[in-house]
Amino acid sequence: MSTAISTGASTPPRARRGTERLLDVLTPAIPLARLEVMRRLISAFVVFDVLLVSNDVIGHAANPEYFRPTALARLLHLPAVTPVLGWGLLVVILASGALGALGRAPRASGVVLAVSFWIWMLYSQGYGYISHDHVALMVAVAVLPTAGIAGARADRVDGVDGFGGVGGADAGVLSRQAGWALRCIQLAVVLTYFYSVLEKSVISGSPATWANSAVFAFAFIRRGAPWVQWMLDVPWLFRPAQWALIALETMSPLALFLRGRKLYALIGVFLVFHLATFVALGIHFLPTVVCWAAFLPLERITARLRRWAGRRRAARADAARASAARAGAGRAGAPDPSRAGVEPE
Amino acid sequence: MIGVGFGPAASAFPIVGAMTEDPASPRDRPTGRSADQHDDPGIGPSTAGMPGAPGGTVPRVRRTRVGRMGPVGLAWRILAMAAGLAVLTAAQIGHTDDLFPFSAMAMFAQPRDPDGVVDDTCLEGTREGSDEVLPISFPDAGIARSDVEGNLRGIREDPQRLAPLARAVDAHHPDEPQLTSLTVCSDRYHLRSGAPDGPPEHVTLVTWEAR
Repeated sequence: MSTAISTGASTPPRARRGTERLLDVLTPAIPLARLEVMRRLISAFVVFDVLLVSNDVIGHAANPEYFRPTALARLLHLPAVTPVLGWGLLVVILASGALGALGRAPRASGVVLAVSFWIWMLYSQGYGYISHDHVALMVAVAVLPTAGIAGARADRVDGVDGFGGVGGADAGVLSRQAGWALRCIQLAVVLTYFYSVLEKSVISGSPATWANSAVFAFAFIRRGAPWVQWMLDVPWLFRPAQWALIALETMSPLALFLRGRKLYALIGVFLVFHLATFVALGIHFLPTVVCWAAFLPLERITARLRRWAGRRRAARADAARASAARAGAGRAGAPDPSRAGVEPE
Repeated sequence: MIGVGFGPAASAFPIVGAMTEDPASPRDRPTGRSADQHDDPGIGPSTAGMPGAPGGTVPRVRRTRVGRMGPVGLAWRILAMAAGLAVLTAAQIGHTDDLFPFSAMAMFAQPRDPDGVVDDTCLEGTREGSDEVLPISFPDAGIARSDVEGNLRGIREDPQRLAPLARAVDAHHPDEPQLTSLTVCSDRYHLRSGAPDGPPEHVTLVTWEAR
């Protein structure tokens, strides 16, 4: 192992292999570039989220009587949100989220974003109803800054920038800190579905009781779009659909074990499910959907951007060379300074 | 709090599409990693060559190295992961929202009786100088429908808890006469074999009146 993690020379080989395997499961070494893309994506999404999804905090300032602080809010002695506090939090989240999305001061902006967004969510969800679509996103903002330190240490430079790093300096660096962060997000995503089956079973007594009930009819009556109201006339469709949902949610842990096409197919099924509930019921679950990205080889985006930038540079240089050749036809053979810095594909 | 336009949703999916274009399993790709480096149990790193250092040819397969993580860093990470899992699991078994964000995954988890009733909760009110009952949207009252439903028992015990919602509605409509009453109402559907049995019945759940 090339990491500082050592299981000791005196440990029996089988135990050592077991420990190493456990480490690879809990803290897999993954490319730092993947973490950097995830951090930008999550930072940008939080900006979107506070503006368009969890955008009820400022409104809650009008209803302090409804504030029922959850355990963490009580622990922090958070008062009911006021307009000044709400707008202040919003400004801090927008600023730190924008910095994170741009890859600026990743550690500092990530920590500020994590603290401010958690407080924001404690205010969004402390007024009577608690939704569970933000679990993975809140885990993501909390864990992503912890690997920022790892990034700097691994590269021995500050402010590692996944897209603009010098010559892709971080592209070849694997980080267990980054792997742990993404593993936490993956677990939160999977458990959002898997534990919802557990919760249905706890409340209903068994998954079958839930699947055989009229939950979809309840949802379609209360939230159904005009173009799905016809389904209320064929309610026999709902029961197999409810069983299918239970099956899909139960299968979610497979995402932790599958690779390649099979993993992408499973993720695709979940995304199609969310698209369907959005079209039918207006429920998009985007805060969880965006966290599915933690399962994907995001560093390829960086690689593609670099290739694209390289091609553009090469095309520009070729165009400049052609025009220079036309302008100075008699000076053939002169060195072409515009070729400097153009890399081969 | 869930339900926005198509635009942002549409913008999220092309990214996913772009990322899934190369479906090769990492096991099928050359990695170029040395023996002391590790497989990624998730999706392996993309090690295809890319334009890199200016002026140099980048090898098709790039060597990778693993950053350091000391025992303290490993210990707190594993403890934090275990603690998060324990709290989240306890919240499910105890069926509690109090540990938010590690709360019960309870959205739509309540089974519904195929021969029961479904309340589609609503707000309505009257304004000064008129007896006409007007529908009022929850966003205008500065609150989500689910929040009102979650507080319904308390509101029924003390209808004055609707007063701040009425003030919020007035603040949203400064040009309109003030509300003289605000009612939490319901379009109540009776189900038979899992389908609505006829049109809904409009019922009043609780009313606040301005003093």
